[in-house]
Order: sequence, then C-alpha cells, then structure tokens
Amino acid sequence: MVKKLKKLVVVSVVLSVLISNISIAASGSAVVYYQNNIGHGHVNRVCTLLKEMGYSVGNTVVTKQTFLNSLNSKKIVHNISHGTDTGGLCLSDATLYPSDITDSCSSLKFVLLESCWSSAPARQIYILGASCAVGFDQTVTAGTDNDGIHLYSSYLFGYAKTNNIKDSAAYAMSTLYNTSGYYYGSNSSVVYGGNTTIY
Amino acid sequence: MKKKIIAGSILGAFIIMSLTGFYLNRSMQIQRQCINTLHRISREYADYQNTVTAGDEQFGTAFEGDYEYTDSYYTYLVEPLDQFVSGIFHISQENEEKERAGGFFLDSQEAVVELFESNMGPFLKGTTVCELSSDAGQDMKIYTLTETVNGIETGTTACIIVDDDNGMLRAATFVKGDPEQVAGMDSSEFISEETALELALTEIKARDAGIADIQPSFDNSWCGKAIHTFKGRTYWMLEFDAVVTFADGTKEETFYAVRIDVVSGEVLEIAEMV
Repeated sequence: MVKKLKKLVVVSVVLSVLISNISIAASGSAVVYYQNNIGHGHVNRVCTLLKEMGYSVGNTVVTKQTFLNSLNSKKIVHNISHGTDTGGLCLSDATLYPSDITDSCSSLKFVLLESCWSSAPARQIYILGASCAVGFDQTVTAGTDNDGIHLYSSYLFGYAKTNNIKDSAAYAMSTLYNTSGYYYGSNSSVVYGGNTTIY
Repeated sequence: MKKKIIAGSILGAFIIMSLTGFYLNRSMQIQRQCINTLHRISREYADYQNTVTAGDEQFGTAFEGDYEYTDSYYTYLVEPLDQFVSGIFHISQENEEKERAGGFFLDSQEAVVELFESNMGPFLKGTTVCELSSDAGQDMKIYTLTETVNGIETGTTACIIVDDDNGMLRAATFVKGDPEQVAGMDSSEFISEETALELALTEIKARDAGIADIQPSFDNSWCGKAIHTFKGRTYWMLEFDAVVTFADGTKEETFYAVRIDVVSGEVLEIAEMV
C-alpha cells in the first residue's frame, strides 16, 4: 500500500511538472482593418506580429457590416480609421456608432481601435463581452504612415507578445514618448480588461 | 487498480499545480514586473554602448522609415544606470510591503517626485528644476518629468507610468538631453509664437496643393503653444484645431501638432489627426 502511495505521489509530481511546462501558442483568427484615406503603412508589421503569436491574420478595407460581423467571429480585431468626437468610427461605407454594436462580443479576445475618440465604442465592445478593448479619449495623430499613433500600435502588439495588454499599453506609450518626444494622443488611451493576454 | 492510480495521479497533479499556482502567483507577478523592467533597462544599456550622443540623429527624418517594435530606439538613457536599477528593486520590495499592510506606494504626484529625487538626484542636479505634469488614464497615471535650465527644457525627460489601482510602477523610460547646450541658448533670439504659427500654416498649405485656406483655433483645452526640447532640437510645439477649406470649397475640421525649430524656423514635423 505504501509502495502504491509512493508511486502515486511520484507520478503526480511528474505529471504536474509535465503539464505545467506545456506552452499553448495563441490560435484563432485575427484581422487588421484600415481605410484608404488614412495612413496604414504599419498594417503589415502588425500582421507579422500577430502571426508570430500564432494567429491566422488577414487585412482589408472594412465596411460597417463586416466590422460588426467580426466582433463575434474573430479573436483579435485591430481597426485603423478616422473617428468622430461623438464616438463614431468612419468605415468605408458608413460611420459606426457605439449604439450600432448590440450583439455579443464574447468570442473576441482583444480589440484595438486606432482612431480619435474611440474609447466609447471600445467600452461598448467590452461591455458586450470582449475580454479586452483599447480606445482613445481624445484626438490621436501621426505625421506619416509609420510614426505617431501608428507606431504606438506596433509597439503595443510587440510588447503584447510577452506581456498583458495593460502593461503593453503602458510600455508602448512610454516608448513612443521617448523615441518621438510626443505622445501623439496615446496618453489618452483607455484600456478595458487590461489583464488579458493574447500570446 | 491501474485506473485508480492513473486517476489519482492526474487528480494529484492538478491539486499540486493549483496549490503551487495559488501561492506563487502573487509573488511571481511582482517578480515578473521587476524582471521585465530590468530586462528592458538592460537592453537599453546595451544599446547605449553603441549609440550616438544626443542630437546626432536628424530630427524629422528619424520619424520616418520602417520602425522596429523592439527597444532599439532607446538610445538616450540615464547615466547612473546601477543606481536606477537598484531603485527599481527598492520600489518593488517596498511596494510589496505596503501592499501587505493595505497601503499604497506611488499613489500621488508627490510620491513620484520624491522617488525620482531620491533615486535620480545625481541626474537631475545643479541649477536645474524638475517639473511635473500628469495625465490621467482609466487606471494608469502618466508622469512626465522634465529637466530645465534657465526655463528651457534640456531634453532630459522621464516618462513614468504608475498603476492607479495599486501604485505599482508599470513603465519608466528616460531620454538624456544636453543641459550645457541649452544653457548657452539666448531665448531673445527665438522666433515668436506668431511667426511659428505663420510658418506652420504656410508649410501645411505647401504640402497639400488642394488646401485653399486654414483657420487655426487654440480655444480647446487640448490645444496649446509651448517650447520643448528633444534630440538636441528646441522647438515650438503648436497644437491646434483647424478648419481647412479646400480649393473645391469643401471644408474639413482637423487637428494639427506642428514642431518648429525656435532658432531656424525649420518645420520639423507636422502631425495630423487620425
């Protein structure tokens, strides 16, 4: 009986070590949306970062309905578009307002809304079940396709490979400031559900 | 019997994992934050060994091209690195103790200033003045410390991000400026803010032939005019709303952030609302 007990303990410990060392890569579908009237030179870089985390990634110009559909079919959504001071996202065919988002977003792990005044739609998506959402309370700016708020997004996804979103947002913000001397509005970022990890 | 052993082993494994995770989780979180910060600082230090001195990079062009997301752009660093790293560990240990006692650590502007004066004294020294501004996020506070000489920024800044929930340090990065260069500047030779704005509007029009007219406005709280220093350049930072009228008569409301060298009047950067 003692032998059996010993055997049980040994096997338990070995199993616990084995199981705890298994690392499960992120999987699922991610998408990066953009508009042609806005700088999107960093789209490929963000896609690469997401692929490195294990996601299958697509990128395209997005309509309102496609965007809404993706909120309950994708794991990660990153949207780059103009925003309005009433919380609207200016998509290719129409402006999407927070009140337009009504269906569950519970399958969505993370959404980054790279637009001015996007904290309201981010909040709505979070309330409807997304694990994490990031938007901005004020205007966000950029000088080229690759700097300013676009660079912030790249930094955020880069850091998110090994950190939770809250830390990644903080690192991205401070890195942007210390590489550029300006926050470009990223200091108005609002992070909902920041303890989420996407790696 | 074998089935019982297998089932018992799996159950035991999960119990061990759960108990271990429960007890280690909190301390691992703190350790992880500490290690992450240390790794970042180490990488910065490695970059610093091969880097240029402040001001060598050309302003403006440094903002273009295919940026990497890594920390390779941390080229402007605090010199007393050892002191800073020891400061980080001091923060973590003390933070843990305060948390256990139910208190908070970096929970106010005063606490941040005190921390940086105690840890960074040799860095922010002499006749310089440490200024503090902050912006509130949902659950993080961003503190920007700026070193000045004779009322002009030296380019030395620190960006400190603190968790508003528990006072934990989230990120701290530094840029090293050049106090001697700034001390030699004569502010009476700076271009006026009116001239700077005129230059900004002219350049915006020059870059987009479709623009017929721009009416700037500094009325909103997010707008402003101030002199800053970064990467060896001292410049006017003009942040303003604008109504842009295009040649076809259409109008558009937008926001610009323009940096203009205070001495030469060169437009260093025009950033526009996304």
